[in-house]
Amino acid sequence: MTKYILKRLLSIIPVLWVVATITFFLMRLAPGGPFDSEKQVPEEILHNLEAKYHMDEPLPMQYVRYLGMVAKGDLGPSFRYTSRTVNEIIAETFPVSAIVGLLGLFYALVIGLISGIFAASKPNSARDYLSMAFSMLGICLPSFVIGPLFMLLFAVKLEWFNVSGWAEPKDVVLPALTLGTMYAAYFARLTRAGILDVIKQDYIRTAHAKGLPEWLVMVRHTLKGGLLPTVSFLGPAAAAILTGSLVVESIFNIPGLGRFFVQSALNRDYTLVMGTVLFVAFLIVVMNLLVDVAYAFLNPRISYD
Amino acid sequence: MTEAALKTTTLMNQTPEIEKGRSLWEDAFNRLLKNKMAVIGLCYLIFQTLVAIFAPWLARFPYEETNLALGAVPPDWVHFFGTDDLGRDMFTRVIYGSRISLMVGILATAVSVLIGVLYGAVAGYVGGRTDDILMRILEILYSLPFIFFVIILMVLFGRNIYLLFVALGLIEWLTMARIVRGQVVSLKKVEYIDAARSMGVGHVKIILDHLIPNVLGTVIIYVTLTVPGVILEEAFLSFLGLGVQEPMSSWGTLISDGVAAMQTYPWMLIFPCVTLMLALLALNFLGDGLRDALDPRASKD
Amino acid sequence: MAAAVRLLGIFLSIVWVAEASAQSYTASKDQTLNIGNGAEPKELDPALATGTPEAHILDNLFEGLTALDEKTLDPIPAIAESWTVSPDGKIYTFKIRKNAKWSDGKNLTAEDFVWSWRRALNPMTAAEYAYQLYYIKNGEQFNKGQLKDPSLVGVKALDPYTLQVELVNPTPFFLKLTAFHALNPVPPHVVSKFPGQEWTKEGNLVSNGPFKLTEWKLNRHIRLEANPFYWDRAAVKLKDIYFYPTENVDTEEKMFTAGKLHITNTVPTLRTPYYAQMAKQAKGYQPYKDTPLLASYFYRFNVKRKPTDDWRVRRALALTIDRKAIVERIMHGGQIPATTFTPPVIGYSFKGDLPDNVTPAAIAEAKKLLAEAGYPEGKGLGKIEILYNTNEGHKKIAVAIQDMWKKNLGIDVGLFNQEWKVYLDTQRRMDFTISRAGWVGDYPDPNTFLDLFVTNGGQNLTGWSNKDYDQYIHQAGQTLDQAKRFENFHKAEAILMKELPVLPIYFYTYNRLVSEHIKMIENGQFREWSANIMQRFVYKNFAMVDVRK
Repeated sequence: MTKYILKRLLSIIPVLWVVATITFFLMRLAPGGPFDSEKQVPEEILHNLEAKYHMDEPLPMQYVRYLGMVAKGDLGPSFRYTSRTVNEIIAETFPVSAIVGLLGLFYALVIGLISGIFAASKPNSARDYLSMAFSMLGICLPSFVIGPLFMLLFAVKLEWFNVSGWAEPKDVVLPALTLGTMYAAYFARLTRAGILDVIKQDYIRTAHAKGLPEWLVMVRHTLKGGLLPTVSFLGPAAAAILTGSLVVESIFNIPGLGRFFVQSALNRDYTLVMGTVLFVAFLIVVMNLLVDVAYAFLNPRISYD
Repeated sequence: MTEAALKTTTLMNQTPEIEKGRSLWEDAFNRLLKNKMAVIGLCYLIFQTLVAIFAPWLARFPYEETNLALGAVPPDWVHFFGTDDLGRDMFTRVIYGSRISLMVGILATAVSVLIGVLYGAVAGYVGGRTDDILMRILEILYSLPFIFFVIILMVLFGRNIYLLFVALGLIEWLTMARIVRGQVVSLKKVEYIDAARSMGVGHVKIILDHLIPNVLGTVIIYVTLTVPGVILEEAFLSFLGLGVQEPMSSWGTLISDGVAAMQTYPWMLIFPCVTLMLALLALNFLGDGLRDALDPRASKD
Repeated sequence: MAAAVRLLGIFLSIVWVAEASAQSYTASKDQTLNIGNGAEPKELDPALATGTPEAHILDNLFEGLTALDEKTLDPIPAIAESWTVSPDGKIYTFKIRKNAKWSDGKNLTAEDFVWSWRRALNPMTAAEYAYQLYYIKNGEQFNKGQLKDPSLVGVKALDPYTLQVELVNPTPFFLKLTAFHALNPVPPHVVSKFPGQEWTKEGNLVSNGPFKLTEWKLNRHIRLEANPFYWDRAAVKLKDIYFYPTENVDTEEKMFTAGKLHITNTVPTLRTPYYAQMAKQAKGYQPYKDTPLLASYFYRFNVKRKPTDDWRVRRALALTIDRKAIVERIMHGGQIPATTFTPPVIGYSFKGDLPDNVTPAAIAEAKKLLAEAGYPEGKGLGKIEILYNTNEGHKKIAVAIQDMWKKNLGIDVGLFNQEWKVYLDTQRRMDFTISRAGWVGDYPDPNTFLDLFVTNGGQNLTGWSNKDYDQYIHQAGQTLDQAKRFENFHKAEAILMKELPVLPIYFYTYNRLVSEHIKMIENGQFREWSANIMQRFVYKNFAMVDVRK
């Protein structure tokens, strides 16, 4: 197992390299650059700007220069937020996204698992339909609808929370709820399906035959096997949720990392695009590794040799 | 051990029946028909599809017609769903919107299922180094900035509605592949698969006949989760200029426009939202019914 | 010494309260102003900044040789207490205030301006607004690298408190330019101490305006505090200002409703009818304000492409849109229907012959023009498309115009939107037939609009060219005589409106929600918040008040 984990950790390097290479050339292929604006910059000034950022060099040279920087752990200065480096931006904003994300994830897992198990314990009953219909609500109402609704209700009308911003601990609640609701619905659906998949399998029947109480069978056997699809989904979901969401951060005005994924691309803030992409790639690899380890735990038939 | 072996044999005996296919599908279909909610869901989806197809005949106003003097009015007997702030009939916009949204939902999801299931099944079944490499590729694809893909696709191929399905399908298959692979990895060591292999059944046949039917339940559930995802993502692609072009509408764009009107003209948000929700609920119940009906183990009862 | 100055500041701010007692307002204890400022600023370097959110903050951090009068936008003394202009209008001599200081207490001298302007023009600085200094002799040559010696640029310090500037042409609006942030001084002793742009970080940035930077938290807020070393410290009543990034306009409105903001950057389009209605009907203080901005919303025609290569087609299209309906039924924000390209500025306005709304006569003329151009009843026009960048407002206007042309002329027009940077690229390559555009004036003078369309101008982007037009614009730049200049601009604009390489739609307004707790001070009296057409705000003479009910 240790060997397997080490091997996987080592694979981060080639994965990041490939991601960096493809992203670098992809974003440079796209029309528009960081210095384009409605008031077009005169040609000569554009030359000055490009020279300042080494963008007048041939692309392969810029690529090598960039890789050299990254190898030293330096992601370079942001094109848009000129007084900040990409390292600083990630260090400043990731903790915010991570806190909102962890809380949202926790909430999503609790609600999702409970309603999934609840529904699966008596399939095609009223409780099944009700909890699934409810979880569908979470999927149909995207965060850009739920967020403003929550804000209107809990902040403007009831005044329990601040409308937006990031000053007090309670400011984390509404964004985390908004972010978690959709994932809760996903988890509920996947958990229900996973449990129904295993519930009729032989080892569960055997456990029942042995006369184990219902709840013990559920916890010890059914859940273990039934959580597989949820866990598979959890890898990418956790990476996405921890790095924040553009929609939620923009609605609640939170200084998180999430909004930079889309905005840096729209701004053609090349260094920030690269930095955020590499960062999320790193998180995805790590999360998937955790998930794969969890597989082995959940299903003894899986082993990594 | 003997008990397990015995079970394996019974399972093995069942497999030929399953492979005949016809009876399985018939069986499944019969079981589906017995599920009331699933039948309601199916009927509603057929109804919704018919509405989409016959939208030009059902709409009482041309979809591009604005009426600035009228502006936004609440629902009445002329405008069932009210009008938007440009005076366009919301009922017309919603039923026209169902055309693109249903298409996106079906086609993009189909693309994602096709690629995702095959990719995941192969990775999980073959295992070892192949699995490793396939999974690393998946991680790479996950990380790449999707926006640039879309922008470059548009530069290369122009604005094209088919591109929309491809673009959406191409991102959605990634999670599908991971889920299928997880299921397959856990299934492939199950006794009957081992037995099939030891009997010399070919790999392709094992994947197609044994593994994929067994993960179908999970796939169907994930499909019901993918459809709303792509329908709403279409709105983001519209932002980049790839999705539906005004004055044509889609559920995704109607809802995102509606959010801005939440406080002033709530009907601009409520009607598209409710329409989407009804369709998704129907899909959800149909999906659950299908899952239960296709469950290979269900026939034991 | 520093402490004494600060004490004096506090003392002065207490004394002033007494004067205001005649009104129903009293100065609040808490002199903190919260402002919604749109996007997160890119940078706070006056030489490099280009955007509106940056300008809003920089106008309060830094101060130039001149400032603009809040109402008339005429230049008034700021860091320069006085100036003289040579008879030919080319040499300006500024007297710098002896008590002008940086926010760290260091003296501000004429040398600092020389250093700052050379820096702004230096190719290595790569300032996008460097062309605002091209009016200075050799400025352009130095910036373009044709001239290596910065001492040849026409700016020098005759002594620590006398600055002499030599211009290329007599430039009547030069004293307005010197109030613009691109020409603000930066502190040489701070800028040169840090690598790159690090001098603008919180804790590092030193400025010379009424406020100084104390906090800059990315996507959270920027906090300015009254600058104790500001030469006119007594006029600054606010203790501090928080600028909040408010990219999400719906959230911004709710922040205002919840009392977290005193001034918003905008009002969501769909909420403007509600507020405008309130302002009309309800009694008492109304927070909704729409104020004009010196900016024009228009469509560009590609005159190198069929069918918009024919002026008759362009005029037919321009005649058949209902500007009044667009402004009143879609935008709701008090925008002014534009029948010409240049918005009215003090002393200059042009009356075109395009109608506000669609009249039967206009439709008849348009149909006749189309027929003359060889497209009777719109036949043979092919597929015309309107390009716009993704945005709610642009989308609605395009949809409405599409329908107007369909109803009035029977022609089918397509729409397509692109993401901002792709749109800019498409526009630059002129790969469009009709393209949405906007232009915000840099300074209150027609020149900032009309010089767009000179032959091969960088911002022309229509392919249009007219020798007479070029000539009038050039002549206007050669004289100091305002009447003569405006006459030339009039002639130029008449040509522009006859040939119509652009289709004017409306003149912008800014819609804001303004709390009744923020007031301006004029001659020791409180008065309501107001805005000028540049939407420039220096919060020097502002104060927070309590309202006596």
